[in-house]
Formats: sequence, structure tokens, C-alpha cells
Amino acid sequence: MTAPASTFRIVGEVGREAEETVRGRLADRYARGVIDRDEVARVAALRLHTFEGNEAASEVFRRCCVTWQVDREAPITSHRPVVGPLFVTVKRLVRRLLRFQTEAQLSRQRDFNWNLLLVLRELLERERR
Amino acid sequence: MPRSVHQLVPNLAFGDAISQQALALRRMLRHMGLGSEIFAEHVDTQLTGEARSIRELRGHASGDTAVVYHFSIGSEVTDVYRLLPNPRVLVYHNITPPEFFRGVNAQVAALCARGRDELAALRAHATLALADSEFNRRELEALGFKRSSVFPIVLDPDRYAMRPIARLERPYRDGHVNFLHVGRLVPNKRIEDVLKVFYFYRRRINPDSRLFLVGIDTDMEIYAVALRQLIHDLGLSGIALVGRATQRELVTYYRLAHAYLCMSEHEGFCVPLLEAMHFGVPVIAYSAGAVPETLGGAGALVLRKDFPEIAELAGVVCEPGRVRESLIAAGRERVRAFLPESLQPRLQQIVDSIWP
Repeated sequence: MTAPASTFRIVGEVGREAEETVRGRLADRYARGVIDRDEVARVAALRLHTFEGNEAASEVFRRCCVTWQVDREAPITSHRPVVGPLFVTVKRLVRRLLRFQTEAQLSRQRDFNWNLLLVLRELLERERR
Repeated sequence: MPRSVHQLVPNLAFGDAISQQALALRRMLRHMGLGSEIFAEHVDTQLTGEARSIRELRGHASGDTAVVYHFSIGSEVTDVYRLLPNPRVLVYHNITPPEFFRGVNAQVAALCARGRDELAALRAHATLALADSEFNRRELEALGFKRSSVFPIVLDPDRYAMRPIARLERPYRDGHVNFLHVGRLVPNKRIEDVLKVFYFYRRRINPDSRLFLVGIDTDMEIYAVALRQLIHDLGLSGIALVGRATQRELVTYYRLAHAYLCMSEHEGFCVPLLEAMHFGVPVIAYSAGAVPETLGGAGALVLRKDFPEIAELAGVVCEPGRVRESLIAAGRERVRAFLPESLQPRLQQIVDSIWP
């Protein structure tokens, strides 16, 4: 019986060494039930839930995907040569000072938006179907 | 009149591979004693002063001035290039097939389709066509480009010669195994497969591990949301969706990484593989597009997506030993071929061929 074709290739002697080690360890994990084939099949079969609606609905949904993460901070930069770094430092400081006041609310809003996003996608797809 | 080789790019953006290539080429061309400027339609504020407006290019219509156009997606700049009377060189950086964007962004899919049409129409408008990889060059040949050649992406080590950010690095120096993926969150990169590999590694091999996903999701927000949902469905923790990173942050993540994971199914070159090898990070990458060429035998090339087996391989690669050391050494050797000094003679040959 021939060994199954390898999943990977590493050039040279160490490649064979790696293949043998990987095969041996994996066989052992299967034998001990650390990994089971049902789990492997289930994970491999998981597909991404993208959006198969029409173009207009897709664009609406995409815009919601842009803004749902309300606590995502935009980078603070400045192109001004001399005062720029000072502006950046001050803005970062102000943001840090205000963060403790806004953090909890933004986090709640973010969770709400996330769930709403999933519901919205489901509704738009149901409508399409 | 001294000869010049100017470059034309739609966008000159910080951290973008094509922009970095344009900047590296400009340095190399100037080193050869040629005049060289970059002309761009849009310029990032961080790169102000590095490029001139495309409108100024009209003043350089001369047989002694060649124009190199970095082409990657459908753009209005193509029309500017097409009408230039100068000797013209097209550099093809690959266009992702539009099918990858189905269900994610119809506009981007349309731009990619338009880009492929534009590329085919440029056959008659290039004295020479260059590609980053043989994979890309074959696409040019299939489209009927008569003179095509390969000139790879230049790795400028000076860009990475900086100290990591201590406050970012410190919490992750905790004995955990750190995996890294760098690149925009785009469907062709199959980040869902990176997650699946990591799932088996973390759940069945080593829970003390994490995965850094460095890269923006601009225009790919639907894909990013789908990835988040997959993370949730897998019940997976230990994943840092880093988003945009500054150059110093990027350097820090490379220095933290024990292995680089790439499951992409379409790459015209894949710069992060070079960067990982430069930092001594062993690469585990799926064999697709130009990936085998870029790796050049210096990484673990995945031939089949068997997730538990790839996770097991990641375990072997991350532990101290002959396999790891050999991959690191091979990677460091491989990147030498992409250093400016290694590619300078090749660039000279190309320039000579513009004016035979």
C-alpha cells in the first residue's frame, strides 16, 4: 500500500523529516480521539456567509458593514511638517482622556449593530429568495 | 539630452506594494544616472512631495523619456498612458479575477473585469511589457503581448530597519505561539482557510497561541463581517483583527510572529512572503498563482487544504529544531535575490532594451 500524497512540500532532507513527524503526530491524535473526522468535515464544510443579493441591496448592506463598528478609531495623522506631530499628540491625548466616558456606550452600540447587521442580511436575503 | 524613465501610477499610497515598487525603482533608476519621477493621480498625504501630478507628464513628451505604467486595475490613467508619444513600458501587477468578489462587492468586481479588458487593449501600446512574476508574464503572453519579461518586486531592507514598538510588543511576548497573516481582507486570500488552520492548531495542538490578521477591509466590508461571523461560529478566540498598521507596527508584528500563514488562491507576487522571510519568519503557504515562484523553495508549500494536517505542520515549524532552522535559513537566502543590488543589473538590461 502506498502512502497518501503529502499535503505539503519542504525542499530537502528536512522536508522528509517534517512529513514523517506531521504524519505520525496526526495519526496519533486521530487514534487518541483528540481530533475526530466529523469535526474535520464540519469545519472544512463551513462556508462564509457573504451577500448574494442584487447590486443595490448589496451596496446598502456593504455601507452598513462599513459603519457598524462604532468604536473603531480612525488613525490620527497630520501632513503638517512642523506642528503636525504636536497636533497628533494632543489629539491622541484628548482621545485617551475621553475614552473612559464613551467606551461602555460604544461597546453596547457595537453589539447592537452587529446583531442588527446579521438580521438585516437575513431579511434582505429572504426578500431575494 | 539625458535619458529619463518616469513612472505612472493611479495611486501612490503608503504601504501599498505597487507604490513601494515605484519608489524603489525610482531610487534604482536615479542610481543608474537616469532622470526619474513618479506621476500619480492620487497621492497619500504621507507621501506628499514624492509624486507629481499626471497633468505635468504632458511636458515630457520625448523619445528620450520612457514612461513606465504600473497597471493593476481599471483606471482613467490608462487613457493618459495610451495617448503618450513616449517609449512606453507596461508593468503588470496582476488583476484578481472578478469571480472572487461575487457576493462581496459588485463594483470592485466590475473594476477588475474592466481592468482585464483594458489590459488586453494595451497590447499595441507597450514597447515592452513587464510582470512581477512568471505567473503574471504568462497572462500577458496569453493576451498577445509580444515582448514580455519578468522584473520582480524589490525588497528594500531600509524600509524595515526600525525598532519594534515596545508597548505593542510586550503583552505578546508571553510564551504563546504567534501566527501572522498580512494583507488586505480580500476573498482571494482565503482568510477563512487561515482561520480553519488556526482553529485546529489552537483547539487540538496548542491553546497558547494567537493569530494576527494585519490588513484593512476597505471595500471588502461584507467579507470582513463574514469572517467575523465565522470566528464566532467556530467559537474561536486568540485572533487579533489588527486592521491598518503603520510601518513600525508592521515590523513589530513580523518580529512577534513564529510562522506566517498564507492560504491565498490567487497572488500575482505576494510581497508579505518576502517580508516574512526577511524577518526570519518561516512561511507556510498554499501553492497558488505566483506563490511557489516567490517562495522559490524556501518555505513550506501547501499542496492540499487538509486543515488538521496543515495545523500539525504549523506545530512542527514553530517548535525549535532542524525544520524551523532550515526554513528560516532558506528564507533569508531567498530574499537576497530581491534586494536592490541583486536586481540592479537586470534593471539595466531592461532599460537598455527600451532604446536598443
